[in-house]
Amino acid sequence: MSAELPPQIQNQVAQLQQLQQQAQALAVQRSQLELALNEAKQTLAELDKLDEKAVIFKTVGTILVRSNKDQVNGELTEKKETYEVRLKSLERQEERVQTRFQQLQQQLQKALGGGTAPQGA
Amino acid sequence: MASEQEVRVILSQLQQSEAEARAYEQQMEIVSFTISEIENAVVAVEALSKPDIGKETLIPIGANSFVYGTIPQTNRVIIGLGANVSAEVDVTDAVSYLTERKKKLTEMQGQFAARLNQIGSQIYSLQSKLQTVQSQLKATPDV
Repeated sequence: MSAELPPQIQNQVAQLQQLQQQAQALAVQRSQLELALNEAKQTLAELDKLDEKAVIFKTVGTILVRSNKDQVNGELTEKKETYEVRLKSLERQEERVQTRFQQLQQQLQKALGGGTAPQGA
Repeated sequence: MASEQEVRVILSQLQQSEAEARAYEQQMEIVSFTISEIENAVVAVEALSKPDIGKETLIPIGANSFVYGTIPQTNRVIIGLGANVSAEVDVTDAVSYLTERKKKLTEMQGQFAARLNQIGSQIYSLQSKLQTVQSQLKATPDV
């Protein structure tokens, strides 16, 4: 079918597919980041319930290394902040891809004379 | 009027719903596995804390093989809090933490089951819609 389309349209369809793949990859990354962020938040909440002198361990590779509440709290808070910044940046990227997808979709629909272009990025 | 386009749309919706159902089934398997791990951990923690349990144990090294080992402290347990962090707590706290986690996971399991049920109904209705549209298409003579 694509052989019947003018090269410019074919190019736009390819771009649209690329944007769709990009959007899917970004959505997967966002969901992984959200999971990590939630885990960090929950762990911080659990740490908060423990005594200041509680014996804390960090997993390093396959072994557990002794640490302390303050240190782990600090490291985890830093991690949480990093996740939040990365999440915001990913969300902005997703918005840009979404906008570009919609623009391209409209252009294609116009070019194809109001026909239906591929759905959803 | 039924059309090829309509069939394609239904098929695509069907594929999406089936993929979603598979994802939920996988999640439910993971949750079930974790719940059973928690149950085992609770049994182990409670059993080890009993005074009549000896401190000499067998430590699994894989392939159903064991080495002898002793547990110097049975009243303290190290539990994972997530994010690669673990904490030492007493037996009571360990049991209540694990029980709480199991409760949350069981709730999650219920939510997943309900969603899976919904998707199942969606799939069923999409399948019958597809059959209807396909039989209408067959009945319609080519123009």
